[in-house]
Amino acid sequence: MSQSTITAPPPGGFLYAWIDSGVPGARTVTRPGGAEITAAENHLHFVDWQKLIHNAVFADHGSTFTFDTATGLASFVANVAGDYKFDRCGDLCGLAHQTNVARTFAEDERLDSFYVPRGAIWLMGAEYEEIELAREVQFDQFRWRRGYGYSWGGARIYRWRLTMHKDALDSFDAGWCATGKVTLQMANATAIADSGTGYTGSLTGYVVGVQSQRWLGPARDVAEVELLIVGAD
Amino acid sequence: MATSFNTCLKRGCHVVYALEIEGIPFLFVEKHVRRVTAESNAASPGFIDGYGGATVAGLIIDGQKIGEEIDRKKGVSRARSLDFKLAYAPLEDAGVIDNLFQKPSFLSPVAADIDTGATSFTVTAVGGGWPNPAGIYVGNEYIYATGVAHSEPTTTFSSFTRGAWGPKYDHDAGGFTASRFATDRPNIWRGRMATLWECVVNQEGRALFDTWKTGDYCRQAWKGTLDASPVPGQVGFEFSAQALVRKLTQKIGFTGDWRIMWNELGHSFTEIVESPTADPNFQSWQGVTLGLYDPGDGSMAVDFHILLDDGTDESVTVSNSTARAYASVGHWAGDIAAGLVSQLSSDLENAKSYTSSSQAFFLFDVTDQASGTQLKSESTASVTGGTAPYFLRANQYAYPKYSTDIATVGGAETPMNHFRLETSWDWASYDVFPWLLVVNDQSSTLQDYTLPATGYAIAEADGEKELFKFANGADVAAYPGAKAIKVVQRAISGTPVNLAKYGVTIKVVAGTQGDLKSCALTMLESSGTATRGDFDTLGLGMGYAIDDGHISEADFGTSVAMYADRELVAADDGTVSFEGLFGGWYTMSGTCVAQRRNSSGVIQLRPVRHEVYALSARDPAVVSISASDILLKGVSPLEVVEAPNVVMVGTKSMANDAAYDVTVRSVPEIVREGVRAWDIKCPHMDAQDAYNAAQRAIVLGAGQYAITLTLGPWVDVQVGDPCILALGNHRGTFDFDDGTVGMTSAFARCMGVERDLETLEQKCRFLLYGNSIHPSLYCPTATVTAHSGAVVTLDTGEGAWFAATETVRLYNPGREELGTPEYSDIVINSISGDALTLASSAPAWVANNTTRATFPTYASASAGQRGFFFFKSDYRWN
Repeated sequence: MSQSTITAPPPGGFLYAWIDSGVPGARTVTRPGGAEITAAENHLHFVDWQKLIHNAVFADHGSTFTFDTATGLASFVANVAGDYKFDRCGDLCGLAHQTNVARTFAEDERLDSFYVPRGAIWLMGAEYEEIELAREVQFDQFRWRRGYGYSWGGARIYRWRLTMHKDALDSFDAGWCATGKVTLQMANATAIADSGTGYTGSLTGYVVGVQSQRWLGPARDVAEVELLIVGAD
Repeated sequence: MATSFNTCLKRGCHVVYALEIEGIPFLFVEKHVRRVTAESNAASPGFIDGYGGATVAGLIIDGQKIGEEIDRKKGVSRARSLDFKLAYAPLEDAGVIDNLFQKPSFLSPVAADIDTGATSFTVTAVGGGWPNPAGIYVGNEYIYATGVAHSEPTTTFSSFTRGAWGPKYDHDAGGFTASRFATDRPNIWRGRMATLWECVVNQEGRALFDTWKTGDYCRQAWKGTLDASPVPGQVGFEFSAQALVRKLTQKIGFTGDWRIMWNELGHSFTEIVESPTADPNFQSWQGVTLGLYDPGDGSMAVDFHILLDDGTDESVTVSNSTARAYASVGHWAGDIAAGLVSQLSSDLENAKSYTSSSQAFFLFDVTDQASGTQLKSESTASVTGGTAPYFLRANQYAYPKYSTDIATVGGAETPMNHFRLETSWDWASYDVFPWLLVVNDQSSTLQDYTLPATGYAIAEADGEKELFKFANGADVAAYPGAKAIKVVQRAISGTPVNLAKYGVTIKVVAGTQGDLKSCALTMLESSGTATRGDFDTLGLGMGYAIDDGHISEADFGTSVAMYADRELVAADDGTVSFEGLFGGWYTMSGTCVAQRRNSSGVIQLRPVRHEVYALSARDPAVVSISASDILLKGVSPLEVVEAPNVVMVGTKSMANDAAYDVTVRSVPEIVREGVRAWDIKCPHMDAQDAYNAAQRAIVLGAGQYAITLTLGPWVDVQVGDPCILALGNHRGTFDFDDGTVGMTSAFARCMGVERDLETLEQKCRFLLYGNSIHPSLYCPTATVTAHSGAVVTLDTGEGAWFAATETVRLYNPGREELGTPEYSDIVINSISGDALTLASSAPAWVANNTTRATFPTYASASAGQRGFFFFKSDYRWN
C-alpha cells in the first residue's frame, strides 16, 4: 500500500545535495539482530546524493538503494527480512522522517519515497545568471542553524532561480540544499552510471545564501526560490 | 577517515554554541538539538545529570566576535572579551530562572575552613531546612551533597561530590564577604570561568555529536572569566567575560610590611609544647635554650632516622636503649625533648660509641602522635667515632645541665636525669633557618591581610636586602594577629641579613623563584590548595589558581620559549601581574603567551612564537593558505610593521636593583629612521641573554610587513601558527625574495585572528617575512615508532616530512660512527600517513622510539630536501 504524500507532478529536474559520508548521520542503515550496515562510510566522502546512494554498499545481505530520475523516487529493497533502521539517509531518500526508528521489511520488500527526497529536490524549472557583485546573503530563516555561505578564491557568483512544487519546497526547507554544496541538473536528467560519471548539463557550486522565496500565484502550489551560488571548489 | 571539524564547515555544516560556567551545574546552549543518530536531543554531559543540573536553552551571542592578537612588546596577547545573554523565556520554560538568579534562600556561613580534601563540613543554619540532597554553592565551587544532617543550629553536609562542574577550592570561614557562605543559589558570579563551546550541526540542524562537549565535533571556541555580575536586560540576563589570557595582566599578591617580635635572649622552656604556635611562650629566638627533663612516663614516641655515610637509613626509636642519637635543635624542640630525655641520659651515662667508624649523619623525623604533625629537622649533624656531638650549624653545643661535669659523659657512669641542649645561631648565616614571629608593622600599613602559609619575603636592615622563602605559616594563639613563619631558604637574592637585629623589616612579596618555566607555571597555577597542578605551590592569593587543564605546560619549556630554563627570582613588591614579571621574558624569547586550542579541542594558555623565518610546507605545523581559502572581500593592502632599532632591556628587579639595564642600538637604522625604541622589562635576565635577544628582535624586525586576510571557517589557523601564504600572485603583495609584484608563496606568522561567531568568518593578520637573510631549515628528526619489514612508521604527523621516491636516512643517534655504522639511506616507495614503505627492509639495528629518520646527504637528496641542512660531527652540508 502506497503511503505517498506527494501531490507534485513528476520532476523536470533536480537540485542534489552533497552529502559528506565522513561525518555520522547520513550513511548507515542498521538491522537489529544482524550486522550493522555501513552504507557509505569509508567508501565515498563528499559526493552528491545520487552518487552516495548509487554507491551504497550493504555487504552482508545485498540490500539496495536506487533512484529513478523519471519519477524522482528513491527506493530501498531489503534483501533479507528484518527490522531496519535508517539514520538521516532515510530522510534524504524520502523514506523515513525519523531517525533510527525500526521498520519491518519482508524479504525483497521495496519501500519507495513517500515524500520528496531531501537530497534530490524536484524542480519544475530553473534558470541562472552570473552576477557581478561578490556578496553574500544572510540566511537566517533558522537562527540557530545560521546557514551562512561563503564566496572565496577566484569564484564566480551565480543566481539560480528555481521553480518547485510545494512538496519539493518542504524538502528544500529541510536544509540539505540550502547550505553547502549542490548540483543542479535540469535537461536530460539521467541517473548516473557509476561513481565516475557526472551528469549531463549540470552545474555545481556552493550555496552562499537563499536570497528569496515566493509563491507563484495565489494557490501557493508553486514557489520560486532564488539561490546565490559560488562556483568555487 | 572522519571529516574534520573545519572541513564540515565548508561542506555546509554549521555550529551551535554552548556555554559552561564554572561552578554552575547548567550547560547553556543556544537550542536543544536533535541528533543525527537518534530522534532525541543531544545528551547532557557528565556532572549535569544527577547533580542537580541540566542543559538549558537560551544562550544568545548575537553579533559577537572573538579574537586575539599577539602583543610583541608585552608578551601577553590581547584578546577580546565576550558578551552574552541568557534569555528569560527559555530559562523560565526550563524552570531554572529562580534557581540561578533569585536571592539565595539559604545563606549559611561555614563554621570552619573547608579545604579541598574535606569530606564533610558544617554550616550555621538556624532552623535547618536544607534539602537532601543539596546542591550547595560556596564561592566558585558547586558541591552536591547526599548527606545532610541538621542539629540545631548547624547543618552538616557529607557524602558529597566536590568540584562538581568545576575545580575545588579552599573556603575560608574567616572572611567577611559572600565567599564564606554556603548558599542554595549562586551568590557570586564575578570571577567564574566561562567556556564557550562550538558544536557541529549538519545542514538540517541536527547534531553530529551525541553528547554536548564530547567527541570530534565539539571543541572550545573561547575561554575566559566573568568580569561582571549578570545584569537584567530586555531579553535576558547580560554577562560580560574577559578572555582567560587577559587575566594574566591582572595584578595579584599583597603588599605587606611586617616586623619581628622578639623575646629576651636565652628564653627557657619549662614545659612540653605540642606545637610552637600554640605555645604562649613562642617567640622569635636569638638563642634557644631547651631544658630537657624526664617527664616521668617517657611516653613520647620519637623516631630517628640515622643516615649513615654509606647511605643506609637506620631507623631508631628513643625507646631502644642501644640507640644513640643527638639532635640539633630544630623547631618544636619541646616535643623532641620529651622523647629524648630518657634515651639521651641513658646513652650518655653508658658512653656508648657509634657503630660507624667515621662519620654518621642523622636527621630526625618526629611524629607527634597526638596531632599527627610530622616534624623534620632542617639540619644535619655529624658525629665522629666517640660521644661528642658536633652539629653542622654554627655555635650549637650541648652540655648536661645538672651533671657534675660534661667530661664525665665519656667515661663515668653518672646518673643524669636532666639534660640541657642549647643553641646559639648566627642569624646572619645563610644556613640558619629560624622561626620568626611576625606582626603587621602598623607604622607603615594597617591591613586585614594575613600571611600565606608559604611565600617569599624580603628582610631589610642597614641597607642590605635579603630575599628569603618561608613556610609553615600559622597563627599563634597567644598573639592574635601575629604569624609564625619558618625560614626555609635564605639569601635567594641579596645579602644575608642579621635577622636577630632589632629594626629588621620584613616585606612580603608576590612571586616565586626557579627557572622561567616553573616560575611562570607556579604563578599561573598557585591557588593555596595544591590541587591545580604540580606547580600549585604558593599560598592563597599568590597565583591565578588556573587549573593545569587550561595550560599547555610543555609549551612553556624551551621548545617554544627559548629562555625557559633560565633561573630567576620572579618576585616583586606587593602586587604584581604575570605580564609584569614574565612578559618581557617571553617578548625577548620571540614569543607571546596566548590562549590557543590544542589538538583535543581545549583552549589552553601557552607561549606562541611570533617571529617569522623560513618555513617548509612539509612541516606538519605549518598552515598553508591558498587563494581558495580567502573570501572574496578579504584581502587588505600590505602595511609596514614598525620594528625597533633600539631595544632597552631592563633587568633590574626588586631583589636585585643593581642589575644592568641593557641597551642595544642599530646606529645606521637610527640615523636613517630616527629612534624607534622598545622598552622591555625583563627582571633578572642575564645581561648576555638580554643583549642577544635584543639584537635578534632588531634583526628579524627589519622590513617586516603585514597583511590582513578574511578566511573561510574551514581554515584551521590560530595565533602563532607558522603559515605559508600562496596568494596566487595577488597584486597587493610583493615578493621581497624575488623582487616581483605578487607573492606566490610567502612565509608568515599568524599574529591575530578575529572570528565572527555568527558567520564564522575569520579576519586574520599575518606578519610577513622581512628583509633579513633567512637561514636554511634544519633537517627534521622524525622518530621511528614502529617497523615491520620494509614498513617504517614515524611519530604522529611526521610522515608529512617525506615524499614517495625520496630517500630517507635512518640512523641511531650517537652510533653513526661505529665500525658498522648504524645509518642507512633507503628509497621510499610509498607513504600512507606516517607509514613509509621502503624499497628494502629496515636494517636490523632499527629500534622503535630510538631510531630517527631524516633527510639524506646532499647527493642523495631530492630537490625539496636540499633546502634543508644538518650538522654532523665532522661536516655540515648545504
